[in-house]
Formats: sequence, C-alpha cells, structure tokens
Amino acid sequence: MTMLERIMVVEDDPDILDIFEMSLAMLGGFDVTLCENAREALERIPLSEPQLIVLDVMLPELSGPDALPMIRALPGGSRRVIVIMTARASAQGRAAYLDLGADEVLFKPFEPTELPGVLRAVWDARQQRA
Amino acid sequence: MGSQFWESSAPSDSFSVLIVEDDGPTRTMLAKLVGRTGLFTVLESSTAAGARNVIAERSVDLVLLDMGLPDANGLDLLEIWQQRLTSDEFVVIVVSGLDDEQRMIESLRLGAHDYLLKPIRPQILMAKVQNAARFHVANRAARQLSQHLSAVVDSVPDGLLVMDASGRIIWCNDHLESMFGRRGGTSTGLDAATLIAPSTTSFKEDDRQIRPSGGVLLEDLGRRRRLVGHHADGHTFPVDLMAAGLLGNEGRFVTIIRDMSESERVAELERNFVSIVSHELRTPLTSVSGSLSLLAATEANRLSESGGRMLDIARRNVDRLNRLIGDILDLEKLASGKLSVDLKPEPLLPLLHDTVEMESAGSQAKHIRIRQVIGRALDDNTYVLVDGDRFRQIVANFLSNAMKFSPEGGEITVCAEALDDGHVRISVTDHGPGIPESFRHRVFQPFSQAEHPSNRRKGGTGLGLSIVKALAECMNGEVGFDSTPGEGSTFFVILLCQRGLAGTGEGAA
Repeated sequence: MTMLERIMVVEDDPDILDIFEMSLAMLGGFDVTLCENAREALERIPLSEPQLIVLDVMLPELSGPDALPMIRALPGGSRRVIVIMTARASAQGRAAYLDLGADEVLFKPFEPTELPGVLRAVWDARQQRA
Repeated sequence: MGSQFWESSAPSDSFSVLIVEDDGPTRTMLAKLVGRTGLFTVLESSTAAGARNVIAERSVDLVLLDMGLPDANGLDLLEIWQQRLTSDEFVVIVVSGLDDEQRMIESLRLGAHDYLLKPIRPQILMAKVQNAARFHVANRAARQLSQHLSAVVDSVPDGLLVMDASGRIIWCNDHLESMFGRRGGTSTGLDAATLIAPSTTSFKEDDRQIRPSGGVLLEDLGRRRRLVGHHADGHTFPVDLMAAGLLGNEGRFVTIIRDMSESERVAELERNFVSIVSHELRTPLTSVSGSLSLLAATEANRLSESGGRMLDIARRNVDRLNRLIGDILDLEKLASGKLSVDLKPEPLLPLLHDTVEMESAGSQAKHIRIRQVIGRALDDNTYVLVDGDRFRQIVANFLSNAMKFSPEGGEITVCAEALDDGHVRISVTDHGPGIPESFRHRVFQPFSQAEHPSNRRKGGTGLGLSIVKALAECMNGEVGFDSTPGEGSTFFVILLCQRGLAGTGEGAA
C-alpha cells in the first residue's frame, strides 16, 4: 500500500496555515505544500503532486467547494484524496460535501497533535476502498 | 375631496386677455368692453409680430385674434401656437367677417376655442369671453391636478400597476418598470404574471402561452403577500404584493409591488447573527487552540512548573470557549427550528453502552466508578426512535454534570428501565450535593448556573441542560430530574421505545 507522504493545505488564514504546517510537517513528518487560495492550489498541484489535499471551505474568490471539481479535473485528480475543512459543523453540510466528491469532512477547530493520525487514517481507508 | 396640496402656478385674479386687432377703433372698443368687467387684465396688439412678442414675454390666458392682420394670416399664427394650444397655455377666440366661414372652420380645427363674427355684438362677445375664461381655468386646474397626481404616483418608492381581471397590465409607474428592469412603457399590455417567478404562485407555464395568468395575483385582494419577483435579466428577488379593486372601475385592479431585497437581507442577517458571530469566533479560536496544543505537545518539557500550569489553564479555557460556541450554535438552531434530527430506530443498549464508554474517560481523574443498571424488560431487541448523535449528546451531558458534582471516589449510576406505557427511561444518578430548592425551577433554563457562584467554577457552558431539554423534545421525548440536597441528583430522559422490530431488517439482526 502506498504511504501518505505529500499533503497540500489550502487555507486563507495565515495563522491557521502555520498551525497546519507545524502539525503536518513538524509532528507528522509529511512533505507539506501550503496555499493561501484555490487558484494558487490549482497552479501548484501539477508541480508538487500532493496525494492528499486539505481544502478550506471559505476561501477568497474561489471557494473550496467550487474548486473541488476543478482539482478533480486535473490529471490524476481521481486518485487524490480531498478533505474539506469547515468551521460550520453540521451533518447536512457534511453530507453535501461528500456528495460533491470530498473524501472526508473535518470540522474546525481541529486538534493539531491528532491531525497527522486522522489524515493517515483517511488516506488508508481510501486506499483500501480503491 | 381633500385640500389642494400643490401650489397653483397662476393666481386666479390675474386672468389676462390679449386683443390682436389692426383696426384701431375696433381694438379700443374690444379693450373697453373686456376691461369693463374688472375681471381681466387687458393687453393689446395691432400686429401678429406684436402678439407673438407678448405671448413670448408674459403669461396670457385668452387671445382675441382678428383673422385679417396686415403682417400675417390668423391661421398661420394658430399653427405657430399649436404646441401652446394643445398644452392649454391659453385659449383663442378668432374674430372674423361673415364671408369667412371656411377660414373659421379651419381655425377651429387648428385649436381655436370659439369664434366671433363682425360686426361684434357686445353681449355675445362678453358671453363668449367669459365661457372661454371658465373653460380655460377649469382646464388648467384639471391639468395641474393630473400633473401633481402623476408626480405623486411617480414619487412613490414602490411599483404601482393597474391590471384587468385577466392580469393584463393596463398602466404602471416608472418605479415598477425600473424595479423589473423593463424599459419605459414596454410593460403595458404585458401579462402581470411575467413579473413573478412561476414557482411562487399557481401559474401554469402552459396556460401562460394561451391567456394571461396574472389574474392569480388577484387571489388575495387587500392582503399583502410575499412572492418572488422576476427581473427582466432573469434574476429573482423577494417582493411584497398587494392588490385592490380600482375604485369606480369594475374589473380593474391597482397593485402595489415593493422590492423587499434590502429588508430581506437585513432580516436574514438578524436571523443569522448569532450563527455568523459564532462561526467568526471559531477562526481565531482555531489558531489559539491549535497553537496551545502544539505548544503542549512539543515544548511542555521546557516550560517551568508555573509555565506549564498557565498553559493548562489556557488550554482548558479555550476548550471551554469552544464548547460554549458549539452550545450557542446548537441552542440557536433549536430556537430557530433549524436543527434537524434524523430519527431512526437505534438499538438502545449498545448505544447507551458506547456513550458511557466514551464519556467515562473524565471519571478516572476523580476515581469515580460508573455502574450500569439495565432493567430486566430490556434486551438487544429494544429500540428507541432517536437521532443517535443527539442521544449520545443528552446522555454525555448528564454524565459530565454528574462527574462535575460527584465527590472524589464517588459512584455514578446509569440506569435504563422500561416504563409501563411503552417508554424507556434512561437516568444518570450522582451522589453529589444535590440541587438547592431555590434553583430547581430553572435547572433547564440557559445560563441559569451563572447565577450560582459555586457552580461557575465547574467549567460548564451553562447551556448544556437547556440544549438537552430541547433535543429530547425534538425526539418526542422529555427530560426531568429528582434531587435530594446532600444525597445527590438523578437526571433522566424518557423516550418512546420500540420492541421487536421484526421485518425492518435491523430488528431481526
């Protein structure tokens, strides 16, 4: 089974982006690419080829849910695991994002010490299904 | 009739008559006759050019115009004044000889009000001048009234339209057209139904092809209705619509349409205020709680003892703030009816067991023992109709309260028992201090603990039990408690129980 190594985080709040980096690079040991908006993410995905993308919902200009199908449409998009991150926790919202093609939906605030493990579990579950 | 609210443009006491006559004695005679009444200001001119100058320079109400002027034909002057005559600036009585019938007819066609034959008989002259003056004053008043009424109609910041009983637009004001993005005048003749999004009324698309269906807008005469407006560019917006019969016009209806976009936006903002603020708070909270927990995970061993204690305090309180926001959002959803519960038959005992297992982590610090007591009538075939997550939330809340108020090394009992009437009662009992008499009626009210200083230290949000009560009610259940001061409290939820769900597949499993 392929190991999860490369993660991209798309988040417009620079402080939260910092926390993602410390959590995933420092604690998790992943190769992490950070993007402040979805356009930047779309440009950098072909270069950094992340296996898993953490995508915030509320992003300037192009929202996470709007960017999701565009990310999927990139070469290799169907293999990528996309995790939607939202501050609006609701069962309906979760179902809607899953319908849209997200692999998992996580709610803010998240626990940075547990995040590497959570993302690894999402990745592994997806690999077993595939 | 109400009082006149506009300013009259010409005071009635200055009705002026211009006499245009080249023959001096005739002109003097006419001026004398007209001036004698004292009702009119008399002006005189012997030429067409002179008459045009007077008309251009001052306001004139009536012109007595001789048809045989030296410098112009009277008919030419009437043609020049065409515009002024149709806008009722003044009226003209032409004066001519008997042999001139053809020109007289032509002058009436060109807009002259009346004619006088030479030789002039004073009584006929005065009767005709007075008639013309009355006509002109009445006409001018009517025109002013009409102008002011249309100014009122066009100044109303709402859309106004008149339609027939089938819904065809007969007339509308400018504001209505701009509201719906239609060019001036293009709405007349239109089916009023085109202004309203079809789904919001009982319009049928097919019908609209055949005959106007705007008549359905007349269903609730005199009552304000909220509908969805349909702009010419395709976008929709909320409108309030009210129709009423047009007085004195059977089969005609006046309709007011108000654009509610802005007030709807404000109302929406107000409705969602708590939710918006809470979500906004979550962003900085995510940074704070994330930083603190990274600090605790990576740097804790480098902190002094008091530094570590400060970090613990910060983390504990960030958690509490986060729970508080979650609770406020829950409560707001419950209050606005937006919280949806997904009711499904769930096996009671596994659900209860899992919940107790998950929540018991907190009990270890205080060495509290949790005992589960299951009534004999309950087994794996006992189902409750609940939303699993919300059920867990209720029991978890009871448990965390029980742990907060239990003494070190105390015991908590979680009990499930069948009631006679097909319900099941799940209770959590602690051996804490119990609930003071004075506080009992407010136990399930939001923030009621806040008034009890001794409880504030316990780290709750003060909303838990009010949420639990509302959640239980959403699931057709009820909550309650028994408490004896000094001995402890029992909180319980009663839910409808379903037994032996054979046939549903789940029950048989």
